[in-house]
Amino acid sequence: MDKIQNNIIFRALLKVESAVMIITSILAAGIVFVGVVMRYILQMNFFGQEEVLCVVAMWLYWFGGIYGSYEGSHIKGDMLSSVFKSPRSKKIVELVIQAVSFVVILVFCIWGFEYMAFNLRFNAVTTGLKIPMSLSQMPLLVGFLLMELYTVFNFFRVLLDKDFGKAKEPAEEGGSE
Amino acid sequence: MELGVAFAILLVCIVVGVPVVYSFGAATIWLVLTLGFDASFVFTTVYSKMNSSVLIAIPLFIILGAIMEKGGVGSALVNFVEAFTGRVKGALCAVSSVACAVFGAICGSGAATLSCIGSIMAPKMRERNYPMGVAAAVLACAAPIGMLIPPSSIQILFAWSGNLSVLTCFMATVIPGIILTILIGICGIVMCKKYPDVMVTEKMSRKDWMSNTYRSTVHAIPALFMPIIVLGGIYGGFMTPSEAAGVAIVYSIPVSILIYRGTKMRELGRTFKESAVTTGVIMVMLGTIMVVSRILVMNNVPSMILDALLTVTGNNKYLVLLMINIFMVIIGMLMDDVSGTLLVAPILLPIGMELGVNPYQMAAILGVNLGMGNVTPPTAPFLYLGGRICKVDTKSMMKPMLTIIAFCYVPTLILTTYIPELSLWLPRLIMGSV
Amino acid sequence: GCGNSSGATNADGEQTYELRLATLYPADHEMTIAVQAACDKIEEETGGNVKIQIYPSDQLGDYTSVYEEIMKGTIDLMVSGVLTTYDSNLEIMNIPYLASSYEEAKEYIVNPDSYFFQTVLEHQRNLNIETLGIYLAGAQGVGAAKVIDNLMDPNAAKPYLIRCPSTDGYLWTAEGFGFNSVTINYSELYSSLQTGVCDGWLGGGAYVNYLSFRDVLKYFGDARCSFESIICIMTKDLYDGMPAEYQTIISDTFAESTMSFADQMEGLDEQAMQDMEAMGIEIYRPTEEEYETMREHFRTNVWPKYENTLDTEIFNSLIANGLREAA
Ligand code: NA
Ligand code: NA
Repeated sequence: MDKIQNNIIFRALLKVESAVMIITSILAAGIVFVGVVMRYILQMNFFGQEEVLCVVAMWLYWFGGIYGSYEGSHIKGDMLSSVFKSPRSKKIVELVIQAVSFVVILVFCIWGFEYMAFNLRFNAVTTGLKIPMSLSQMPLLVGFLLMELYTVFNFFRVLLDKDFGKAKEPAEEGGSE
Repeated sequence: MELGVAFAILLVCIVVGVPVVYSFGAATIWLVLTLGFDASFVFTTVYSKMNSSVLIAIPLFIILGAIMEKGGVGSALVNFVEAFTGRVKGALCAVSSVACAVFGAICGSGAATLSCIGSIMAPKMRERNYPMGVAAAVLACAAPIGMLIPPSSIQILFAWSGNLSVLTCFMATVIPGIILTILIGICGIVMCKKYPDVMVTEKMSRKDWMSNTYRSTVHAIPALFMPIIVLGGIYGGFMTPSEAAGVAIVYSIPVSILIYRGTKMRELGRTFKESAVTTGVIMVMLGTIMVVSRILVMNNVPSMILDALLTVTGNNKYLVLLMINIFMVIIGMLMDDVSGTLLVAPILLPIGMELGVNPYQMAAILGVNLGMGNVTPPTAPFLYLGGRICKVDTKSMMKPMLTIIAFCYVPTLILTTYIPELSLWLPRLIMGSV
Repeated sequence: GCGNSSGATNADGEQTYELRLATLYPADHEMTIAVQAACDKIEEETGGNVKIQIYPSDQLGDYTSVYEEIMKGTIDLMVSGVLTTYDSNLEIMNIPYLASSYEEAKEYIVNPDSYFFQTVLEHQRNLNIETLGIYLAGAQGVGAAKVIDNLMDPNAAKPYLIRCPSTDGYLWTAEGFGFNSVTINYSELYSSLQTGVCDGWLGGGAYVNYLSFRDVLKYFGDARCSFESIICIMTKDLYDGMPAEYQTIISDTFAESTMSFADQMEGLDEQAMQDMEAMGIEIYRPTEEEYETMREHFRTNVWPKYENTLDTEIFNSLIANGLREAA
């Protein structure tokens, strides 16, 4: 796994994802701020602000979701962690989780392809600034594809980790945050 | 039948620990396959639900909260609140509670409130021999107050899913939030009474007190300016909630870096990135939850639930409200507040409307209830986070946590549910009719 | 359970359908009631073989997603606003001053034989959509939290901040009047009017203003800049696959329903203006002459802006006679 994790493409991808998240965050705050400045200082209406924001927001949301998959920080119920204590059963539960996620995302990837195929046929554009709709629709498909990539990665990381579930869980041992 | 199986799939997945987004995804796949839907509506629904100018306020408030948290604004606010508390045993519990409320007036996220106020208060309380189980429970239970005091990402989500006014939803939870702040503060003080080791704040001469209070207040002014920008901007009619968040972000960067020196320019990138992940996991989850909710609506599930409720309770509004609360408590045990809000809002809003309950009162009931859900096991993110911040076992938090639920949350919930004025008076005062 | 929108066969060998209709209006809204009546009539006339269930209040999503779903056939029918992202020619639904009375709107917009209707029908067919009718949801005017001076004088300065949806059509309309425009989400409109983020709004008739905004309004000007047009549409594949007899029943029923609803809406708008007047809201009712002046102003200053939005033939018809040629 270390080999993959240290792979230049793998790391470059993470860098790109981080860059997208940072840039879109700054843009989102910036666009909203500029809207206020235009209204009160320049006495102008920021025409099509919502449309630009939509594109920015979609990339922000989905790349946040992708990175969440890589980190394993998606929101979960997590009720069995106190039931299964042995490293072996913890490992099995984790593998089941990753496998279920894999299947679900796979189906969504297929639906995502059909969705993009349908929308690309029409060259739809937004009503105000005539921004191609595909620009804000694309991140949905890209999102699921990359989330699938990290789910596979995490599955094997757990599978190959001989020490999985041992001597961790800092919360129970009073570790620090 | 298909719906029953879908619910079972959902429950099993969530209990096993499959991320909520994929748990709902699995339920969607099952429903689409067995009910004979054409799956092409799924992405259309996900896209159109996410494409909302109301929702953009959420990432902005999350970014704002993160900058404030890292930027040392929290300790300025805590010192400010502390300067006004008297020499009572357990006073720091009250400080925690009030600080969560004050921080909540800037920040839209309960988790950010907890990690910020918690990491400042925990060392202080440990130093003065507070029982850390009680301290952690007070902090964890007070953090949802940050969501009841506007701005609040939960209320934005609720308003969005019910097509209600965000501003009015914000107002509806303020008084329940204040009641909760007071009750948790008192409850914390009472719980600390029986611990003899807890130290009281050193006695200060009147002059020292004056100068200390003065210093803390002046130091806190740039921070206190934030709620003025956010809430003043929104309710003064200058800005929409997302605009207020955007302006506050621009203001908070120099304040955090130059005045409070809590963060550096180059750390901002990481702050943005972490906020983006927090936002992303919420939004992606929102997508699949909305698809399931759409299928439920298509199959008339909300009206079936309403019919069942009305039959069981013999058309009694107050009994239905009680059942709704019990239902939400269960949801709150299983889920965190965001998933809970997304799941129950489309089902409960029409039911409430049918009964003649004002939707903004529903916002308050849901806010208090799902806020409590964050500390009720088994799914209790704030309980675990609070334990981690205070470095205590969650077991030692259980008894004080249950005490706070029994004496603070449940009374607030009952008041909010059965006294509409509690949630509607302020919106009426500020927004006119609701 | 789930509907059979693709059509099943009953014991007598007849085709049966259980269809879903999505609308933005709440269940108790006048238009939903009218649509429900039309659906009941269709069910009755098809001997119970075509059942339509209505999902009110955008329960199945807002018009942007429902429109797309009609194209895909995952929702069967819709009564909502038109989506112009797939074909900008559908912007004709938002062109100001094509009509300035309900009488004209009925003849040139609602009437299924009109050039306007046929153009919409033809263009939506390319998107796998069959157009069944156009409901009028009100004569759009200006509702405001302060009194608007010289509303119908095209040359008067109007230093008011007016909210309009972010489409070219509304923006040009606001400009045509001489307003400063601002785009605000509809769900925040009430509080924006109240707190003063905007002074007024454009895009709703008297009835909508009365229902949703009467408590914050001080003024309503019956500018009739546009007749809010709500389309009633169905997935074309589904429609084409139906027996001809059902097609006729469905189309005729909605044509009749849209026509009679136009009369009803005119009454509702009028009643709303009287009710608002009684509440102390200033109602401005322009004269015929003022409507004509404004229409002329829009014809020369605003309509030419549609050159890049519309196909040449449609644009020429707009400039020549306001889309009023014989179909
Ligand atoms: Na808050
Ligand atoms: Na919980």
